[in-house]
Amino acid sequence: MNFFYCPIITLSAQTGDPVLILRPEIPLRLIGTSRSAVSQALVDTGADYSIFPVAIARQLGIALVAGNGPPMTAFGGQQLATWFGDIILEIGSDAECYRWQAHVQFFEFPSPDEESLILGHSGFLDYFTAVFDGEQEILTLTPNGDLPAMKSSDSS
Amino acid sequence: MHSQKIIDHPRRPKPAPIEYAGQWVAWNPERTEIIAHARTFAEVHNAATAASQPNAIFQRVRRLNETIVGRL
Repeated sequence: MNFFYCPIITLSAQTGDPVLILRPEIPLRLIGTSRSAVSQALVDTGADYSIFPVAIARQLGIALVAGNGPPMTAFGGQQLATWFGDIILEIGSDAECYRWQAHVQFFEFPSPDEESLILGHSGFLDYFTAVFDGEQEILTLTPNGDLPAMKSSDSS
Repeated sequence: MHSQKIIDHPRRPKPAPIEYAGQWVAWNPERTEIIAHARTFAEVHNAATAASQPNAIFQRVRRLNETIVGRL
């Protein structure tokens, strides 16, 4: 499956001018017990885990439990207390679609305008061979044998 | 710097306009039009549902001064 990198308008850290950057953000269907939604999510090879906003868990009816271990550590040493929950994830289209259940983490962001969805190794990249084509700005994902695939009819 | 040909590929989604920076938006399934926007995910999800758009694609548009380097 090929995913075209998503264009994002931001300000250059060097000049302050508006610039267009392209990032491997892909549409991801998140399926909870009561609702589902498709959201853009950043595929991040530097992330050990997949982490989503707690606000999404609340909206989709995903039960969360607090972790007993140490908090996550982000770049720069920021400590993140996360919650854990089971969610069904799906990527692709009618032509090629993959759905699986994942045990992922949820983070209560300080503000909605800081929320992000991160697809890291656990729950996502472990299940795919990923090729990041920086020239064409295309991410290619090929499922591997570890993907605990479900049939689309296994849930709503 | 990316070539304009790479950026303008017909299958590549369009960037969210800067007036939505920091907000959650809902795109139509073709990702050609923003059909709702709000401050929170719940608000924009409810708006898309009310508009009978079950296949909307949600995106939290980055703030203009936001550069991600591994920070959540």
